[in-house]
Amino acid sequence: MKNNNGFVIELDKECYAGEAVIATCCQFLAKSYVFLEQGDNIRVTLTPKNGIVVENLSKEFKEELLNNTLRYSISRRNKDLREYIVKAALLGAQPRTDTDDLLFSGLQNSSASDYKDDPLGITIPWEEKKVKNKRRIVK
Amino acid sequence: MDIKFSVAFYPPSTIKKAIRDYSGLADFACRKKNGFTLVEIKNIRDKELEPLFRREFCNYVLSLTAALK
Repeated sequence: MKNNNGFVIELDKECYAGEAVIATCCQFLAKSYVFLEQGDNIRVTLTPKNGIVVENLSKEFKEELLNNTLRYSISRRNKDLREYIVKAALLGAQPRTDTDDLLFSGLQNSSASDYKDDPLGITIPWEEKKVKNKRRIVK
Repeated sequence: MDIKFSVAFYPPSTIKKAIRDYSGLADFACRKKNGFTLVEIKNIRDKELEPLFRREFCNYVLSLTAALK
């Protein structure tokens, strides 16, 4: 819609996220004067600065708005995955502490011991254990 | 001149910062109304800037808003 000041573009607020609209407006700050209003719809007033063709500006704005809307929805969808990757990268980059070294050495020692070692006598059949106990009692 | 900034797009903190930055160029008054921040601009020092002052101020607030988000 053309206006004395330039172009007024009405956008359905159900279809376009506020963040995407603001990002698009910011791309046009160098070329035009931008003002945003919100009623039932989002109202963008674009007034071109000197030497800019108005028709192209409106078309460009709508195209950029679609791009930014898509970008915004993708970034919202991938938010969890992005956060996970960054967390993993930050944890991996952390320097080792003394506690980590202790834990790591403990793990190494435990893996070095054989499964055949039976310090608690778990593999001894209960009959043998009972016989041993009886002998002790008799003595 | 008055400018009504919708709170949905323009956070009051960015408007206040813009007023601080522009305070050397004009007198400003700012108050909140339901869903809007109303900015009143008076005594623009440079008369040549007057026609563009409102638009440039709005652009500046928008650029601050985008930087914040």
